[in-house]
Amino acid sequence: MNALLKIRDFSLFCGKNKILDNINMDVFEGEILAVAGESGSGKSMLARSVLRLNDPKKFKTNGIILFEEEDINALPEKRLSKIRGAKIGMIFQEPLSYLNPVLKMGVQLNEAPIRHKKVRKREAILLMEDLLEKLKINNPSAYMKSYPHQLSGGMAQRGAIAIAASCRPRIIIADEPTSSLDVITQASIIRLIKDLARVEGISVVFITHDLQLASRLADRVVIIEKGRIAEEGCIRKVFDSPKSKAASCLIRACMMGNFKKSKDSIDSKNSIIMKEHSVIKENKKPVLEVQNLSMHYKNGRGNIIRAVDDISLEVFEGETLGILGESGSGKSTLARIVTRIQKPLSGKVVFEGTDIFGRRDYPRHVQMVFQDPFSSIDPQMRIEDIVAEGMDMILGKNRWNRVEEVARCLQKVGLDESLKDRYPHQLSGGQRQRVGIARAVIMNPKIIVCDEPTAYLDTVSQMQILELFMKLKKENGISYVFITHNIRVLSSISDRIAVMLGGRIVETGRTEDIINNPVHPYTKILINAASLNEEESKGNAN
Amino acid sequence: MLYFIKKVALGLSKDRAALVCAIFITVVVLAAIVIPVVSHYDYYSHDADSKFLPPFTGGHWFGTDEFGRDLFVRVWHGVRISFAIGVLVAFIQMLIGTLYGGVAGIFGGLVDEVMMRFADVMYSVPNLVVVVLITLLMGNNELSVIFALSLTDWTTAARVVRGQTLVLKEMEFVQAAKVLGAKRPQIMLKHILPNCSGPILVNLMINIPSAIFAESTLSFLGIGIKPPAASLGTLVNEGFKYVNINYYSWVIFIPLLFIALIMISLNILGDALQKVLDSKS
Amino acid sequence: MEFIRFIVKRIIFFLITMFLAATFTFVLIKSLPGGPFGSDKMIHPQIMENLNEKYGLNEPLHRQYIMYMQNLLKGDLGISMIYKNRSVSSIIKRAFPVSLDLGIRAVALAVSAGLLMGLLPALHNNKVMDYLVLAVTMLAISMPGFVMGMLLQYLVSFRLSEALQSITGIGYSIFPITGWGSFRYTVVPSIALAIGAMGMMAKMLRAGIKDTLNQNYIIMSRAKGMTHMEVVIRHALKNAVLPLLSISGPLITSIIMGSFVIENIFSIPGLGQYFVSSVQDKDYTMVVGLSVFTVFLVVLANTLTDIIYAVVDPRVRIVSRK
Repeated sequence: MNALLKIRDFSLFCGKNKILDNINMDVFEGEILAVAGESGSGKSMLARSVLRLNDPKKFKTNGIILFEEEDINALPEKRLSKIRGAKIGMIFQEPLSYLNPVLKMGVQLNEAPIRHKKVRKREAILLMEDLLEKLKINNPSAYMKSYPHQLSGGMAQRGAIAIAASCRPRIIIADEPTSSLDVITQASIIRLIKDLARVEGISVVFITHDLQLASRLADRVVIIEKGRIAEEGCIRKVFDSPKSKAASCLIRACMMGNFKKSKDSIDSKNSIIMKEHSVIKENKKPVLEVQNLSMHYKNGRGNIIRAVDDISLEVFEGETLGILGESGSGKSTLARIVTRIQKPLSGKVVFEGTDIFGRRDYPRHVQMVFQDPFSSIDPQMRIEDIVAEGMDMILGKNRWNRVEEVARCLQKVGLDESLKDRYPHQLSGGQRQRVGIARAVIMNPKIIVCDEPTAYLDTVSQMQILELFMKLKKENGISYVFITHNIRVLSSISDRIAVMLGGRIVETGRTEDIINNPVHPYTKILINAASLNEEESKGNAN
Repeated sequence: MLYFIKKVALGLSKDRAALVCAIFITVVVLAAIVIPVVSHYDYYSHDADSKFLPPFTGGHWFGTDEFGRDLFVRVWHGVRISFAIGVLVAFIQMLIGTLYGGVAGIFGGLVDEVMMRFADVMYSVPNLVVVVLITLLMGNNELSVIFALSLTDWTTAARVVRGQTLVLKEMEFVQAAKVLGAKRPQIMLKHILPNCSGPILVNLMINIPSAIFAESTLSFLGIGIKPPAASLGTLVNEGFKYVNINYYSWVIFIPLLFIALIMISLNILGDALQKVLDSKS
Repeated sequence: MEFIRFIVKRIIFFLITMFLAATFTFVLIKSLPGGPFGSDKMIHPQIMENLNEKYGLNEPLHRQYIMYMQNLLKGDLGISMIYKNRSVSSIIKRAFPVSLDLGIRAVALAVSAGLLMGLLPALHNNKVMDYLVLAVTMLAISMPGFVMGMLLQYLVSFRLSEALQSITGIGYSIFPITGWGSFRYTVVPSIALAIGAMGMMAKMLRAGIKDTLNQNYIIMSRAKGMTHMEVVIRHALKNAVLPLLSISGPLITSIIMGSFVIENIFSIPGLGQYFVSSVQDKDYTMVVGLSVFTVFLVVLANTLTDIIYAVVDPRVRIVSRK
């Protein structure tokens, strides 16, 4: 096999910072190569360097990138633009932000073939429609006439794939092409990329933080850590016996809560089990009861959307109830009602026997941890004031042991006391999320509602935050209502799972039961889409 | 608040052009306060013997005008009036706008819709016309000009605050405050207003020059400040009406120069402030 | 569908604004001390009585209001109270074409120069050009119209003409100082009027292009193999020009208002000239009539540009639905 792309001693600098350090790697003809690393490891910068897309004013390079024996870094702009899009195609992470919002899809799709293949517009349209059909888009000509904002993320990503593939490039570089998509779409996009590569004989460089995903697709993997190549080799080998710390860390992160039964090929010692099953006694009384709750919205066209549709559920003392659902399933609305952010249309929520909207002391019992660590704490307040906010409101600013309590709480969530005088922008995402947790914990609540608390974090801090939740549960006996779309996370921490779809709960049960024997077809699809075993997902995930 | 001031100071100190402008404006404001007080000329006394003295003659640094009035004092007095009106108008606009926009944003729904449509109406009516109509009613003096200008251009501030409020209302930290038991007024005072202060301040900084702009234009057209009291616009207007620009050009060009320099400095300062406050540090 | 709804909404808004403006002016006339014919001039009581009779001022207030509105709808904006045989509409008929002519020249100039200047830094991609454009736009925005007008009048109409006269020896000035007539009369006033709007456009376009060039879809189009020029023209320009349409309302307002100043400086017999002189004469009915017409113009221009904006940018319709 021939190496199409050779990267030799390549380094990238931003000012004095070394972002990439002495990278040496090859991409061979027809292979699918995964490049894996934590966010911030420099893997995206590497991808962009291959097409020299980084701003030359900000970034300086060193070393060579050879494509078909030509050094990309030495090529004049004109020559380079004949490689970009024609011989090397690229797919990016958030498809909607990579499409021009004021141009119709057709215009954007046609650009590359018209430019590189020297075809007329009409031929380009035919060509692209043909390609779109291959990408399983039902009505290509309607698709070409739509604007990007009219498309879903998955549909837009198909368009981006079509653009990248339109000129039959030798290599497609896919930079986290599925991480902004939901699980089911993710599976089908992965499938499409794989088929495309096999059928057309295109090499694919698949850049990802999710090794498990990579292992479904790639032959070989290069693991990047802090701008350096930490490990390289056949993906099975790396997965089974990682040599570097970075690799095992990535594996640990994506294997977190690997729920597959023992027949799975993955060594069980790799999966970490964080959950400590609290046995729910059947005669125990529920702390929080949701009774026939409904919440409807009107959308722009005047249609009624049933965000929450006649839901009933119970939360028992000391348990973790997972609520699983895709975006738009109404799970966040449910969280907002349970925490009194908004009032329901009908039905009620009962806490320890009384309706929550009648209780003055409710904030002391039920608290919430939010999704986005960058918007969930007020940027102009000091950490101390943020953590103390709830108690200040109940007790008054000077009537409690403010300084000591805040310090104790910060310590409890694993933050240094000295952070209390800082402002949020001086903290990392993981630290901010801990502040958000401290703000809830200081109230000494019985229940904490967590709305996707790990969705914005990288895999390592994700794991640490989950560990923190479990620790707090053990120490303080807090119950959680844990809302997420991530079945892997749920399977590792929850005692029971409720599956939400279109505002309704379609299935409830103990975590093991749901994962091993899902009853509802939707649950089956979700579990299969997220599962490692490819053969199983074939049938369901499109 | 402390954090906020620190951020602004730090940001501005890095921008050399803005720094120069800030110093210039400070000097001009101080001079406008001090000079009319300490000078032994005043801005209204006629002196038939010293008409049209060119600059730096007879103890008149900027020369004299058609009535022999000392231009140095008249110009600084004009700067004083222009600035006073500009700052006052911008402040009143900010107050009205913040209150109006905040109420619309917090309540939302139909209240918001009606209030903002009304603001749109106010916005689309040209301010010159409104000011003229109001001065018809109240006569032309400083007070009616201030009143009329404040009444017309508060809509941008209102829009900014309303937009911010709508965005902030949906932010997770405001929801978190609700979960912690905060009521609407508490949320407004503790979370929403402080987080609006950046855009409000930028708006204030932009409104000062545009108020000075509007006032000087009105006075230039002879429908603003009435002589002998004079803003910079009035000075230019009088020069334009009574003075032959070919022979006594300084009578017109000195006030013109002041208007131009002040406007440019204020605009650069406003831009710099906007840049500092927009950037996420 | 959503588009038609948008247009209907805009038209209703236009009507409401005009209605409010008309009502406001009516209230204003009524609240003037001593009525429109009061003021500080001494009028014989009998004449006053006759005047009130003639204009229906003795009728009950609501009747007067209805009459006023009906007259407005018919396009009758009232009569001057100083020049007995002058009606507001006759003044408009005479002066508006002049103002419109000046305005169109200024808009055309402002748009072409503004676009060119805003685009230059992106195409040239060097710092000197960028700073130059920044400085020029800053100057253009900061100078009030009358400052610019007087400077140009002094420099071009006086000094340049003088210089040319002394060189050629012919007593003929190419750019007359005042008045309105053939092309050479229009050049300097149009430039003076256009400068502010040009600065606004250039500044916004420059910032807009800079901003768009940092967007992800620009990286995408470069990854497709488009050259820098193509990227700027095909992708960045359209995105950066669209927001310009959103300020075109205020821009046109500023040109209409600016024309009041410029017409006064250059003694051009347009609406602004009459407006200002009737304010100075305290010709109340004239002022109010011309005000109503000006508001009508400005609001109409705003409405039209809003509709054009919605036609061109698919996103506006979505946003406006909220």
